[in-house]
Amino acid sequence: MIADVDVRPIEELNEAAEVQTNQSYLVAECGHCNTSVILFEKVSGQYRMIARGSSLTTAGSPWFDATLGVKQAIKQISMATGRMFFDHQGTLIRPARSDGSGVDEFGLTMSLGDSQKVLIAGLLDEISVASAQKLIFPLNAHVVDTFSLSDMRNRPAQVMAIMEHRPDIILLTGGTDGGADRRLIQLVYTLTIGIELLDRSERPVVVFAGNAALRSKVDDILGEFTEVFRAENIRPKYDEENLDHATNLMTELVLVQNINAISGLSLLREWSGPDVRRSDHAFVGIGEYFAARTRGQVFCLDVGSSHVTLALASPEETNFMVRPELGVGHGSAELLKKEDLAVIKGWAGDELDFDDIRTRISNKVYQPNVIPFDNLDQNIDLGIVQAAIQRAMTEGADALKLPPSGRLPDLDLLLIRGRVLTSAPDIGKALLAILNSLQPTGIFRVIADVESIMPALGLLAATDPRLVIEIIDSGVLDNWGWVIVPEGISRNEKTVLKVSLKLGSGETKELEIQSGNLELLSPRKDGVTEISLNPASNIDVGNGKGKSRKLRLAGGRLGIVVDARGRPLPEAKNDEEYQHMIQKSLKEIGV
Amino acid sequence: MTEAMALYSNVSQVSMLKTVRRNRLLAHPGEVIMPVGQQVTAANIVARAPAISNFQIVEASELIEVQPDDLLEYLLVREGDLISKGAPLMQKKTIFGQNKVFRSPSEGYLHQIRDGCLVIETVGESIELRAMMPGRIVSVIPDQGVVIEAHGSVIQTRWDSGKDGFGKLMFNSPEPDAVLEPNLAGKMIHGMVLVAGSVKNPQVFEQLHELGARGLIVGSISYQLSEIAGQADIPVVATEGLGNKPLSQPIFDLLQQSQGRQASLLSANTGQYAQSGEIVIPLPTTSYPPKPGPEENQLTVGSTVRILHSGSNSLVGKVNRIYEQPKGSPIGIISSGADVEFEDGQIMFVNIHNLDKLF
Repeated sequence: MIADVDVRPIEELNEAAEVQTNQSYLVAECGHCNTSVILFEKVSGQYRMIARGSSLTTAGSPWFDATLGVKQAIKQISMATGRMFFDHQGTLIRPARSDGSGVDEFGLTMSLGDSQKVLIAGLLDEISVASAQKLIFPLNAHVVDTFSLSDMRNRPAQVMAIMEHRPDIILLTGGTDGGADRRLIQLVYTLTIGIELLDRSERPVVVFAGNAALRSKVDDILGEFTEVFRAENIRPKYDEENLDHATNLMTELVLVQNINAISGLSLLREWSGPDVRRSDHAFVGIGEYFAARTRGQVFCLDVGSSHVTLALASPEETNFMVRPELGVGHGSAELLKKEDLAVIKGWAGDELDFDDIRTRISNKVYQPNVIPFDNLDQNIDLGIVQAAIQRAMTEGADALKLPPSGRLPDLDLLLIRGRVLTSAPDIGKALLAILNSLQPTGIFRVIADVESIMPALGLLAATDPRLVIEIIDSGVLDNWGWVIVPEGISRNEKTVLKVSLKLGSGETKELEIQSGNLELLSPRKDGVTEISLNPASNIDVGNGKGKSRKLRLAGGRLGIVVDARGRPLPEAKNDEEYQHMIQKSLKEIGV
Repeated sequence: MTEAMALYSNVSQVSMLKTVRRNRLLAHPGEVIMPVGQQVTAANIVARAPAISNFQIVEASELIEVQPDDLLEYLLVREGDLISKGAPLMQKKTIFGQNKVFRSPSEGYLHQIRDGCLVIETVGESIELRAMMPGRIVSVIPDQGVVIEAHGSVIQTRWDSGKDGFGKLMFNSPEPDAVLEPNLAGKMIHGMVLVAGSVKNPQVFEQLHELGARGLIVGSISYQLSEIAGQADIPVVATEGLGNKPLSQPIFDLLQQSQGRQASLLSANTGQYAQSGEIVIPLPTTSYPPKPGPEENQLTVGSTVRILHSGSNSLVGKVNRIYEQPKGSPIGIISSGADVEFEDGQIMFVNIHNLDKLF
């Protein structure tokens, strides 16, 4: 509105800028499809989430400028709060002024950006190459080829592989510090031949994370043709692994490559100074916070248009992986295989055949922004989510350090991100897609990031940990409720668990849970429910086989779900049976 | 006065007259041969590049059993030399004192000598990049290509087969949902870009190619057929994407009005110079349309929109109210969006993600 425009001379505005008010933060999150901006500010001595704006991401056609979407989202915040954030020149006003305009800090998290193609070149598969592969797991990157001593290809074939793959980054490793160098130098020359054959604009950068004694020599050989970054040796000794430095370097490198490739992000980075993080890293940071706070096992799940992030955080360690190029939008192109289509068909029911499903998936690749228009669309999206998580879990077993069975440890908390899940009109359906794909065990709480706030909190945790605690405690996260997964279920027995719920009215509700079923209990949505679990003699609900357990569980938007279908979930004999199983579970979970 | 509400939505421009700029880029670096300011026809060549080089690597030091650093002593060629197939590359005395000659396995330039290896570059025929759209070159991207500006009608497409082409627009049937059947023999379609609602039979692509057609525009195409179309010799575009939708009415109307005019079918590009797939129909005009403002790519009250959904009908309507603050859709998904009024007078709130601004 015209009346809101500040018409004072610019010098006067600059003077006003010197006055500090309460600390305030605007944090933007740029995803492949959606951009959101959140305003945090101290109110009466406590940090609060004041407002949120969102827009379609404008990094692609026809805008090719990521700042437009961010500005649109900030404009929504302006409208909601009556506060100005930009000056006459369209520059973000920082720090906040005494007249209430502007903001003290701007931060940026991002999940958009193409996955970087990495070629790993090392010596021994089980030593340096294995460590290098671990290093890639949490990055927005994928391995396109691996050179090692066990590679049966000759040198010309390896050079041709470089030409064919055109990697963005070569991660060169191998050799213990001060160890033998001949084979590694030979490998460096092979890389040099391949790199030199590429046009200068297409040459990959090289990260050298091998034998420290060879750093200068590697620089001398490769430095003439491309940029070489030095990292600490990831295997300084045969039995010692040192991933931290190389991981940080690679993380920064991938981030910078992503920022440079997307129009508008450089400006946002200028606004935000050094505070730019990948959204998935920031999200997992919040998972670590919860793991430390609850002293429990926290699983972080984020399903985006073009990535699936899985992380398992405990107070002792965090293992996580980003699976780029897999998701519900652009990333659904990878879900055209028969086994994935069968999952999606199970959700779609009889209304569609496999060709219809392929057509719909392909349209998602071309139109990743589009959201469900009817219930059938929603079911298909959740089928895609389930298939994508299943695929990521299979591929990520090593990254998550899962046992050979692929089973997760008993969870205490499940954190969920991703619009298809958190904004699902029926969260029971969304939870079913998650339970089917992760097959988690234990008695755990489910919290969804419906406001897409966790990356922002993860970003600010480093500079203002108090903000994170106060914002989380203010109730901005969406508490779905609890899931109870009794262990030891066999198909033969009937009643596996007797449940006694003490309802708010004081009356007690008794339930018998049958093997193979999914039950949605309906306790109070708020407040605490007292629940007694009395398992059959060979069933374990956390206290040992046949031992009962009493719990006080805070209610949630969905309630308490008992998943008595067993682990692993029973396998269907054919597509029809699978479809029947999905439809049965949907009914049981109240859909 | 309040600022008009506007949102970013999906955009598939359908414009009667607009200034359009199109990047024409080589797949790999080469030479741009047209200067800025040059008028071009669709058939003009604007840039060329050598075909992707093939490299043959000869592990020379291993072959003659010497250390890589000693190889130069035995070489009969130097970097940059043009070598014919069978030409002597190296010579070494055997233990019996005879000279053994090692010959080149292929013809080409000796690109480099590195760590005991000889890299021979064999270069194929050059690739020529045509303008594909008549207009004026307004910018040159060094070593990569040009930007061509033209004035005319533009329709952004939602799927294309990855090929470019140009020809005169010809309708097969006056209905937006007409299926193009493989019964084209005897029809005068040489040099034409055919327009149809959909195609169901893959034989159509072969027939169109055999009869000299230059391209095919359809409303939609099935997933299975899209894979076959990707292999076809002619460019195929679908204005509504994959599925079973007819040409939406505004697109059908614009194409019908343009019947007989030359149209360029331009496929989508990815990467640094990404652009959507487009049908461009140049128009002879002396009054240049104004340069588009930022509002062109924003949704405002009055915008004509197509509803993106997975059903088989093509829904087009006009925005009559914008909601910047989130609102629930009929199935309960909450986001910003707009009330859209359809031809039958029905008004429905549609999430921003399902709106596709046409004009």
